[in-house]
Amino acid sequence: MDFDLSETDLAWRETAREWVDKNYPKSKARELEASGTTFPQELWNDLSEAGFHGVGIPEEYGGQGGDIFAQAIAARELSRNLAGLVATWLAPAVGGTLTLLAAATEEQKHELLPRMARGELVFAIAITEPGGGTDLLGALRTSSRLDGDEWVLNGQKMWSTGAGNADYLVVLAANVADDGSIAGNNLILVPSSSPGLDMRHIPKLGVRALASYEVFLDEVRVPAGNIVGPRGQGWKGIVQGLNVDKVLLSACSTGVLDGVLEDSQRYLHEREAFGRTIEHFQALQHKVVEIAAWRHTSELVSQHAAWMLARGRPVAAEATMAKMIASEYAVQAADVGLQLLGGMGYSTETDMQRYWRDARLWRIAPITGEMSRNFIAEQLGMPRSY
Amino acid sequence: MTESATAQVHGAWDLSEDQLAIRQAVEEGMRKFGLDYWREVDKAGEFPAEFFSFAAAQGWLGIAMPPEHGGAGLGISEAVMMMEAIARGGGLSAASAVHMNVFSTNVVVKHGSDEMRQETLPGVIGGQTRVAFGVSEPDSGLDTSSLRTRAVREGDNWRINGRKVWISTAQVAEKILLLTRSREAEPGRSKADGLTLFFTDLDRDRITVNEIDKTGRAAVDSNELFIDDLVVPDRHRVGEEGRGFKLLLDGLNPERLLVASEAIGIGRAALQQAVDYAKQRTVFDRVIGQNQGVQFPLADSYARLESTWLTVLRGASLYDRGIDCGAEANIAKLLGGEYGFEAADRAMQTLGGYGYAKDYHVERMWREVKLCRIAPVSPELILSYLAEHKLGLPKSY
Repeated sequence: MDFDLSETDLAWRETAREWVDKNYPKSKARELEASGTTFPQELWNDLSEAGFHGVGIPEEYGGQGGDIFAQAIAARELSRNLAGLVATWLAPAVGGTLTLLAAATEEQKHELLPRMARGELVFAIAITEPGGGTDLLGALRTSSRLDGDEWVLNGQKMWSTGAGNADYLVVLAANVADDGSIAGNNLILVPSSSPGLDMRHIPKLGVRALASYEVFLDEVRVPAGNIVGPRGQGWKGIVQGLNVDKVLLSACSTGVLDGVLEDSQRYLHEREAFGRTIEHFQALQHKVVEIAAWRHTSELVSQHAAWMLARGRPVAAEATMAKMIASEYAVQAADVGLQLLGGMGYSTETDMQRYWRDARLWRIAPITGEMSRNFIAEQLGMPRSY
Repeated sequence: MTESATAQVHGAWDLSEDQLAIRQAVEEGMRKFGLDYWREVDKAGEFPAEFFSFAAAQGWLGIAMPPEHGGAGLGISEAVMMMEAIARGGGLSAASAVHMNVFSTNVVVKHGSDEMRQETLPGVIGGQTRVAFGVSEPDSGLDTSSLRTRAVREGDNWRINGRKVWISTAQVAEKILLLTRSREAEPGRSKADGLTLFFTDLDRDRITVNEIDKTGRAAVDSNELFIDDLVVPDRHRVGEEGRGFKLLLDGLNPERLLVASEAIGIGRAALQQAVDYAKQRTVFDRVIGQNQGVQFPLADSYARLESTWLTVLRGASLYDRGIDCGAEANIAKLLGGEYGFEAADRAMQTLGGYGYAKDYHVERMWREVKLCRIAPVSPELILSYLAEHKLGLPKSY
């Protein structure tokens, strides 16, 4: 037991960090947010060129290889400057790549994964519905029925991030059996250009340069071969990715903590008041140190969960705790950081407000802090309360 | 990826076999001393002598001591496992009863003469000798180097006069580690210069020991000491004259890790009491643990204790490999103290009136773990330390 990163891990972290600092300094993330764009195409292209989309895709499918631990390192370094725009990389990596790896046929994998690794294919997840977030299956209304050699989809999806620029939406829909009854659910790849598919942009607090959408499906027809995994068992393709998602978001939160900490320290070092730099004031120092302690803790819980997951261990409790702890610390830290920077923290000319707005999402999605606590309470042997 | 391949790619994140074996052995040992035992010694304010002898017989006192003197020769990575399990089983009364023997004499191991080591360590490890740690003074807590107890050289001896405060186990200890000022620091030199450390008999003819009545941990006494013309032979000096404080600095980080593990152990014990209670106490026709308002604080404390525990393990691993662990040790002590106390406080809230009642143990844990937030260093000064030494901010105190 030493909790050390290996040479490989350290080298990858260094590479990722250098790439991010060179190509996507924080100023560029701010510009993207101010640009009014709904999809950061240039960021996507640059990530493709640098090979980020191939991390986590095995070499036999044209990727760079690497496991969840390597992905978590990428997630943290990208988030340090990009904050919530990390989702440009993360959402397809988890929703697309992982789902395919978990449930697709060999033929689908060989056809789609190499193109995804090169960044030629963009996936967006369309799973959540207006009436169902955490209680997704209980609220699933979108339906899919087989008509000859085509799936016909009807329904409505919420919070499909990046859908506006995606080639495919990964849609979860109730499986309508031949007798008209509902028998499980299907995971279906729906081309975004399909007739009958419509979208509405949902304006939001943070991550503005990567728009999220409400998606309407009205008699949308796709080839029968677009189903991922066995009919009626679509959920199985997603469920394996839930822990991965939590672990990666804990890494993203740690990246935000990195950014908040360094920006706070720099500001305290430069800003003068009462004849000296404000870093001399004990009350402010203590706030910065608390951020450093939260960052330290988040780093360890995140890496520990990633390590267990990479080894194939059961990790539901650890992943949930890592996501909960790190996301809450990140928001708390950004709030303290905003206070430290005062008016400048509130200004969109600095990054603190961006961290503050973006990280706030991770206390909500993909699972709220409250649901996390429900889950942990059950791990402690207390009765289910929801 | 296979287990071994992952280990090669990402390092080792599992507890070692030694660590697992120690935790299991200590948990088993602690079961011989149930919560009622700890309630009774707390109520009576009696040193848990039976437990202390048991710990010595089990070899716990010498866990991190060299094998040539009868110790197990293990590191802080193993000692934190042991102290966490001891504190989880018996609270701070249990942990503090052995803490000084386990930890404080490390400075003797490292810097004592061969003669001193051979003469004293077997007794410390075997439990025949209990050790008190005499550093703090009425006007010198964290600002240790300002201490005033004087040691004056007289031929082969030293004559010591002064006062010490917050000296644990001095009611029962046979030996004391005593930090004194043997000469004034030279102008321009650090105040830490000129402090000399002794490991000597706690001679009750020359040292008056007055117990301090306090909120918690009554079984392990805390005392004020009045030292009046204590004559100590020079061979009881530890390390060089004038360098005593620097020798103790080596031990600060491991001590913080041990205290953090004790705070986490108590927090976990309190949490267990709360969970057990929440699962069986019925109100409005269902167990109270079904209420999210009851569950969430407990789940939250669980997550915080688990995550802080990782910092303890990480710091211990660094220390055992000779790598600086100042950040980890201080963060672990800071967060361990806060979250350990928070867990006990939430447990008290969960048990309601019973949490406040002595029969149910939680109030004792609450009183005890509070001390982990204060000693050996306050959270406020940890923040100042980290600001200065780990973030490079100016000294603010």
